[in-house]
Amino acid sequence: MAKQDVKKVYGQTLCELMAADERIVAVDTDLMRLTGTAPAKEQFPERYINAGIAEQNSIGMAAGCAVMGKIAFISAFCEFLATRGSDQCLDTLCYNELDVKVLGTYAGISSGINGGTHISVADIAAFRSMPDMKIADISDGNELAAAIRLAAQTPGPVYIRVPKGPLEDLRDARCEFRWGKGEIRREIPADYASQRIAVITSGITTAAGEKAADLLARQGVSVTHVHMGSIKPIDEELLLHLAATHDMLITVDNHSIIGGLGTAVCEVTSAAAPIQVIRLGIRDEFCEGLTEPELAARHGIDADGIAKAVLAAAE
Amino acid sequence: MKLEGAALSARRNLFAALGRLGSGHYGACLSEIEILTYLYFREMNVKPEDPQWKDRDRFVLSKGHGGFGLYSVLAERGFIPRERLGALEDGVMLPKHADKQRIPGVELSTGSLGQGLSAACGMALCAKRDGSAVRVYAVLGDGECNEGQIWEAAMAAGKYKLDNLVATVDYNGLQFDGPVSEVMPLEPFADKWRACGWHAIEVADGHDFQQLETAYNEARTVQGKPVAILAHTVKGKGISFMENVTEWHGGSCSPEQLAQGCRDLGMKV
Repeated sequence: MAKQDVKKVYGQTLCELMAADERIVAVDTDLMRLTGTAPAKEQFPERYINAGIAEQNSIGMAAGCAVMGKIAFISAFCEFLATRGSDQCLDTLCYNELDVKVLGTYAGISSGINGGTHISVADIAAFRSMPDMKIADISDGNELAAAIRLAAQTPGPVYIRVPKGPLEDLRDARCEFRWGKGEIRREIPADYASQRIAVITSGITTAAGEKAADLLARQGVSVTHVHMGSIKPIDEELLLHLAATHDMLITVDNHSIIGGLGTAVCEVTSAAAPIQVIRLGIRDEFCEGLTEPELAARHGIDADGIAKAVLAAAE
Repeated sequence: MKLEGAALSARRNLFAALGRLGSGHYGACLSEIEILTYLYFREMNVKPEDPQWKDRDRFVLSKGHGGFGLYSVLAERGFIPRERLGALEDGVMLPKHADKQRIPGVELSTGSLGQGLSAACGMALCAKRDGSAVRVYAVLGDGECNEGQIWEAAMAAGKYKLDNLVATVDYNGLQFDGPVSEVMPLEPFADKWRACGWHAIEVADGHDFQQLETAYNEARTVQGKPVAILAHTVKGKGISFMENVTEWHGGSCSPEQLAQGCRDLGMKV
């Protein structure tokens, strides 16, 4: 499968949108070479703002652009948007319902050897608790492009969580991203007689979930696999369907197990359709400075870790 | 005379409304009244009958806790009926912190200090780049200038030479825990703004409309730089027992204090 550089995807998609809609502005935080906004600066200098290493003011300036009728895209590291910039996102962006699209890069363990200070384990939790904030945790370049396009058309604040990449394509360029819609990647056969387990993933854990399902299939174990790219709003209907048709759910977070995808799944199912949910993810701790594959293995969110969890649960 | 009358009426109405609300940021609201009155009656290009008029000058109350000061001046200017200040809507009073959802004319809801100036920078930059004549005005608290984000915004405004942006600091010298000079000294305050690329103007008496007029007229002549107006004011201005008293940043009045305040403002008790 082809791999895509997410920086290029963001830069190209942003430039396409800026060419088509004069209201769109790009705000940067001295990271244009990492986030991919350099082409926007070159092609649309009059709609590009670089506010320096100052997330708080950058978010505020993006907010001011939105007050003036613009649609602002701001990009920075996930870790710092959600921590240093969380007050600005909550009180200025969300409370004022402003058209600012917050794009975080280096999501979770994809920040790798940058170490614990740069590995975002709390961003989904922070943004999920903000009224009116929508959250996309994308798993490949084509989904990223689709999510960016949808964000531009979605009123109000949006958070798009982007791994460092490059990301292997899991779907083609015609794919759509829809708020509140999960994607069933594979489904247990209706007549499957053993323990019925659904694995729910988002972001980089979706590729891992895919590989885990392949590994399990080779051992005769079948699972349902759902990619939940829209973490907020989450696909409640699909979750309730999964709860009704499975014995157990396993969620896989590239994030703390507190407040992430797994928590969101539990919130939906616990009230309406109680089912056992095993949450894989970072267990209330900071990550170490290791490579992404090493971290994924250490925290049990790579293909082997997911497969192991499924086999243990299926016993 | 009209300005003095509007300011007095705004003071009376906000005092009565906060009395009805039960508590409020009396000191912070009372110190900003002349600044807001001057801006809304003389300086800014606004149409109260059309609050969303696209060519209006924009205003951000970065010190969001001065919400009732802003509401009361907006009422004087005709954006909302004066009765709205103390009235319930859907069973709730107006929030103490400036809220655009409930009051036409408020451009941005504020409350968490330090954030409004950044938004004002973004607004001014968009106006400039769009070739519009719109000017953007922000009012900041002096204590608010403890926030690091204010200085991030100050640097950005200097970088982008936002000469359509005027930030006025309501420099009443008192913050929540005591004098600004003790809690977190700001001086040399004007030099800090200048170091960030701003033109800074000191106003000795921020309650004197003549001095405010001179400052805002000077601000209009500045090219290539944003303007900071440091307006020295009196916290709690107009209420005898509140003036220059730290504790009246906010609080509740006893019935006797409400009566005294009304007498101070020439209102019926």
